[in-house]
Amino acid sequence: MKRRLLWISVLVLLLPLIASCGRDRFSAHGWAGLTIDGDVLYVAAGEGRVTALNISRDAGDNRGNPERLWTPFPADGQDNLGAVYGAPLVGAFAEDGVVGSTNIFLATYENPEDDDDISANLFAIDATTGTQNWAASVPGPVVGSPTLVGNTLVVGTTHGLLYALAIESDERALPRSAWREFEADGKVWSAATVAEGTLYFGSLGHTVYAVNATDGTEIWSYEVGGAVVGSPLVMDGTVYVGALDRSLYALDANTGDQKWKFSGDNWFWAAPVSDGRTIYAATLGGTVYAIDLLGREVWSSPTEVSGSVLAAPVVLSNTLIVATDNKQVHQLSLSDGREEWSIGIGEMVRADIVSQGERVYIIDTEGVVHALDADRRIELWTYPTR
Amino acid sequence: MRPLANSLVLLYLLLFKNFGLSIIGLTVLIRIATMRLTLKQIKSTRAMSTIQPKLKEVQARYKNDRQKISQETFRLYKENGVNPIGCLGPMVIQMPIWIGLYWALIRVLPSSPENLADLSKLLYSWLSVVHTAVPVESSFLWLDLSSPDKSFVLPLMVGASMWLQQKMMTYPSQDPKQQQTQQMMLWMMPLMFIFFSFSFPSGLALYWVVSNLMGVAIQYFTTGWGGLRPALTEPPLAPISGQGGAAAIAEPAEELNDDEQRGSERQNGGRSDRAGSKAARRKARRGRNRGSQSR
Repeated sequence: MKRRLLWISVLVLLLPLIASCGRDRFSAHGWAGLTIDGDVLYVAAGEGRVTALNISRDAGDNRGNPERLWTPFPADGQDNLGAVYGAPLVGAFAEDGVVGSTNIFLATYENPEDDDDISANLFAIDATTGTQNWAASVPGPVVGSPTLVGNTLVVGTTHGLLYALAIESDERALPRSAWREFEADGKVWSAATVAEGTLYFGSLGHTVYAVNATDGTEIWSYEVGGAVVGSPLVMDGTVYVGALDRSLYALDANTGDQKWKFSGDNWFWAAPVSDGRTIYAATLGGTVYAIDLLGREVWSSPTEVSGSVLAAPVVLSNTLIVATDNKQVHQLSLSDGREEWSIGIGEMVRADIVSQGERVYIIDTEGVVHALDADRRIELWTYPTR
Repeated sequence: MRPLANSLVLLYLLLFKNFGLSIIGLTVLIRIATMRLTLKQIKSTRAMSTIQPKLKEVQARYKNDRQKISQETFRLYKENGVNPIGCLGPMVIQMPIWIGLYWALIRVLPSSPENLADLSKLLYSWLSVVHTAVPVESSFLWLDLSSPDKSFVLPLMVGASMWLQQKMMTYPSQDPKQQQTQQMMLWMMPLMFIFFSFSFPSGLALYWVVSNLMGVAIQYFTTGWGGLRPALTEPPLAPISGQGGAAAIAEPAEELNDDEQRGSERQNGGRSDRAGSKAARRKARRGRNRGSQSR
């Protein structure tokens, strides 16, 4: 009898443990996002906590920690906003000379429809004070960053819908629907890119869309061979977009016709970047490609980096900065792809990199911000957000 | 895990881009591939249970002579063609497959951006077609296969199918301790898996249901209703009063004959299993079946 009781007790104790291990395996943790506006670096940590850091002193020889401008939002002891995968967006209402106060718009991977404890997944935080102006909800978790077109905030969701919300001059007023939501053929994880009044984005349903930013009507759609996760790069009338079928596509921005297709070694997850002459795109196989505007490789051979690249790289004056899942940051020559410098940063990098001049800001999956000076090839400072 | 993950995605493409069908298809294929091992396991378990009374007799007869007990036990095993680890061996061999399938399912279902990103490492680079299929569509019937089923339906199906399989695999034992363990397993396992089904993605629960139902089918076509037979055809067994509290135990020889009889019943389309519970009718059927077997 005792033995039986012991068995039952062990099982009862083990059940919640096993179940919680399982839950953790499937749950979304977020991998944060960074945005620079002037001398301020806005940091949205993966768990959904926003911080503003003054980076004005980084241009000098100062290597001390950056000054925090306001108490992180939400404050200690309060619930975080939810898993964050996209960079915060900084913007303000502007119309007929009326300019509202600057907000940080942040979307989270929460679904208020599914969870009674969650009431919002879209937030506007005052950029000067770090206080919440409003919290709204759109059905479905959000992965990509919101986009601001005029006074319309556009956000795509995991339910496959693109929502447009009109922000008001009163920064505390809740946004209202700007146009009827646009229905895509799959989850919308890519942040929309705006060019000349058109929103370009991809879906996990293998389609790239061009949608009128004013009324949400479809201009064209083009089916590619795989899911699209990263944001498209729009340049000189061409949309460059990577897909999980291991291809990078160049599409005509006006018609959606395919100009060319470039095949890589693995998924093109991160958004491609450019210096105006060459497209730089990295894969989850850890390969960085330089492709000219006609779809031909520029470097004699692609450059292998230390691991999967999920974070969009940044182009500096002569070099390309690439961060990997293998806890390394690489500085590659733009001309031939040769590695000029690399540095280990202790954790994986999955959030897009941002830069100001030759300074690069990276946040790792543990929420630590790293400031690097690519010119002097040194780490300026690290700042833990947790 | 990689072959299984790639197979799941490939089946998804072949089965109308339906991941539910892909899970069902792969579970059926694996069950078929491991059929020989499963049959071996079932037969070993049954053979082991039939010699239990004789083993007990040996232990009682030579209780002061350990060496003699070992010798006689070994002789019994040999005479009856029983491998003492025969019922465990196949299970041990199958375990890596089940664990691999479990992890493959979790990895292929895109429950978060992290999961989808990690999937790229699992898919074969030479199998370009699987890269065009991701992320797999996770809706199936009323389920989102990447999240737990909140409707109670699938978890209850998991519990019921597991209980059914467990019950069929349980052979009556004369040992009260063994009976207690059997009873505990009969209820604890389904309850545990019901609990898991509320926590894990419903894709896994679907796999458990299909796997259990396949197990039930294999068991039925091998040994008949097994431990479920008394519940189907006989009134509940009266508990023995006293310390053990165990159920009444059928004669082992009778049990063996029951097993033989089940083979003939299946040949008759299993009608006799549904034919009621009166003892006289059972005995009459037994007689007929013995006759038909001897021919």
